[in-house]
Amino acid sequence: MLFNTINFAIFLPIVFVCYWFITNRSLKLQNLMLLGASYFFYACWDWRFLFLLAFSTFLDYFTGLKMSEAKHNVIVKKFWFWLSIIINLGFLGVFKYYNFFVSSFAEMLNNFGFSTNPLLLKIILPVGISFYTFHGLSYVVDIYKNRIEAEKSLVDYSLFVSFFPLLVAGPIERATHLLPQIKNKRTFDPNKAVDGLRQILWGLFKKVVIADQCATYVNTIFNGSDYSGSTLVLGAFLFALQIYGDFSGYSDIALGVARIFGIELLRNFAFPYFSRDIAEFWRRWHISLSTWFRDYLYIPLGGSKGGMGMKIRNTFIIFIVSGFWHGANWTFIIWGALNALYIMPSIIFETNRKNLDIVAEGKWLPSFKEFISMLLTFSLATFAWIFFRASSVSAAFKYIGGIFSKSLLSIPSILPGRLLGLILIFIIVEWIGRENQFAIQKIINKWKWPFRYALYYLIIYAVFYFSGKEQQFIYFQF
Amino acid sequence: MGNFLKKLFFFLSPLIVLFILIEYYCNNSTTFSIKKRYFENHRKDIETLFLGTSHMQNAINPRFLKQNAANVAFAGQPIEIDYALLQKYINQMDNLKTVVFDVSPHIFYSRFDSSDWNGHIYANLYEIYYKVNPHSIKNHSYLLSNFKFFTSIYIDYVNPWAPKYEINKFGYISNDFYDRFLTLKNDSLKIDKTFIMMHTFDGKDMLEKNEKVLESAIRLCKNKAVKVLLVTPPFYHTYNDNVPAAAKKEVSDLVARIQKKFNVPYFDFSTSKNFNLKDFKNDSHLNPNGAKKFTVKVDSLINQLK
Repeated sequence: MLFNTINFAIFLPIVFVCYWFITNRSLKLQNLMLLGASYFFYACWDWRFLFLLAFSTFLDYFTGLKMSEAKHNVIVKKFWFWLSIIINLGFLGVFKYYNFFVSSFAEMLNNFGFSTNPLLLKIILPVGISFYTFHGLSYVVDIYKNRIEAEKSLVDYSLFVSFFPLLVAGPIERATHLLPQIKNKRTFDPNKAVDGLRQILWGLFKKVVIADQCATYVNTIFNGSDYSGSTLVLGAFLFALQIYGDFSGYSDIALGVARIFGIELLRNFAFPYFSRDIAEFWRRWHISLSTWFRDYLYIPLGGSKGGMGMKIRNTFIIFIVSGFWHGANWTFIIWGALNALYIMPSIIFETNRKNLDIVAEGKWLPSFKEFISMLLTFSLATFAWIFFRASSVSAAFKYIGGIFSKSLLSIPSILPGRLLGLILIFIIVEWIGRENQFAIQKIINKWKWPFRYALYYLIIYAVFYFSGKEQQFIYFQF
Repeated sequence: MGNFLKKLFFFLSPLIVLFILIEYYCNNSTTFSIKKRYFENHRKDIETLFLGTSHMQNAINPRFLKQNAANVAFAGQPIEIDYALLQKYINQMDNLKTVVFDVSPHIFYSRFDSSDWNGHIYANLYEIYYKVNPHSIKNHSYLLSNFKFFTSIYIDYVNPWAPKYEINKFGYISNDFYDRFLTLKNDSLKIDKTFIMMHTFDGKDMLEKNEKVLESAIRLCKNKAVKVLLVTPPFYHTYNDNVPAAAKKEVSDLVARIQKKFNVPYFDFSTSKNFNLKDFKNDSHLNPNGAKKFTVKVDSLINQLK
């Protein structure tokens, strides 16, 4: 079940009514109902993978308890810890990376003159496996490191892993943040609910009106051949908008839905394309994954404690692993490595924490310097996205080769005027609302209700108007 | 909570009312619903059934036929749907004597995607669940199946300055002149210059698949002693000139094979000189004047078959 479907529009009010009106007297019942709804939500995609989700959940729950029991017995604790890590990563390895490793190994052997016939499997990637595995991993690591106590209630723990707004594409939650909310009684806050609905609406706009409309042109340009350099630049620009609209739109919907149920999820995007350098970009893009890698990979590897050499090594490791997390393809690895390269100057010169504030805070327009910095950062990010979008490394290099040709200065052969107009409006709204959690959170609060409602109706109309074919969310494949 | 729900209801009420109004209009006054109603009410009396895509939909106005007829062709209707319609209804059509198939070249190359909205329309109109989830709510709502299309129809209906369509009892739009040629004021030079081919003609796999489906449909008609007529409706020269020669040959060979195999007559009007610029509303669709001429011609051919 996708967020941008009629089925979800029916599912959500039903769960809302059950949650606030039928099961609201008992927290246990409320959590059980949410868990049932989450499993139903997941089963709509493929019920067979429910067993995998349930097994993965139970494994982490059980090993968590066992680690807690063996508090002072380091060997036993280690055993349960590594058992959980190996099985979790094993599942991820089989479902997501098996074919990649086998075919890469076979290719390597072929390069050395050995003829091989690799056994590739037709594996369906269970939707959300990367996300719920990371939920489980962080929980197990936190218990192992004595940061948290093991959760005793299986229902509460299961809900932490599979709460439907975040189940298939995040944000990647932490037990320290979400579990206490699950364990405490939630009260209905109408202001938060309205805020949640507004965020859902803006998320749908980003997904359906911006991302899906960009997708049509992006697919044509990336799958075509012999386009001029300028058209290829346009294709890359539109993909940058598509992936932002798609993923941040999804995150907005997830956060909005959770808020309606009185639960606050981690913020995942903070207007990343208004960043003044790559370090700032990565503090604002897919925040829950970046911080996950920081806390569970970068710091355990030594972080920046071992001097500049270790800092550089660890930065490369987390970016490459992050690329690999996105998919079993060399394109993602190169995308990760390229971003690591981008961030290197700021690591070496220790300027990576220079831009911690919001750009041009309290002002209408950025300074010239800020504008150029944002443009440069956006261009670098867009260039890297070419690898992310391309079907193979050679296709990416061909695309880049096509950009740097004589035709770069020609008029693009594809010029979607209406879409570019929509994008311009979208960027203006995002800019105006950049000091909030999401663009339209507060900017229209001061408007009189008829104008506010008119804008909501306009957005709803646009969402329906542009919702032709239902498009999957890009991050579902990860 | 009460206040929140009240506000929510207040906010959603206009949307719900509008939704009901549009849905009501689509259920009663569009070519889709009128065709459906006619087909449902006259199924037992229908002697001739026209199948195919928008080319046939625009080319045949059943009003000008001497026999009872229904034209259930629709834009982008795949041959699989033609076949599914026959499978579902042929036994309920006691008087059916002739089925006319549209064999325009692009039909054989068209791919019907599972996410195409038409699938929900066939589910809605005929309860044929072709490449759609039979439990989808979109099967029961015009607006949800294609919001853009049906709201634009409704906006035209309420907009006093928009042209008003007249739909006859057969579901044929009898004043449907509003298209590219009228916009260009029937200026043949401008028409020639601005033509863009909307159809694709590649995919031998689809050609072979569609041939088999057409064969099955014809076989079904033959088994029920229903006569079959294959027809290519007229096209303006801009369209004809831009259909790739290879595709023309492939489809011509395909139709010849079927003609020979089943001994069915075929009439190709694609390049007919009897239809000129003023008979078309765009490059590949007749306007109501052209449709009248063409329907009368096809009527005489059907009568000759008897």
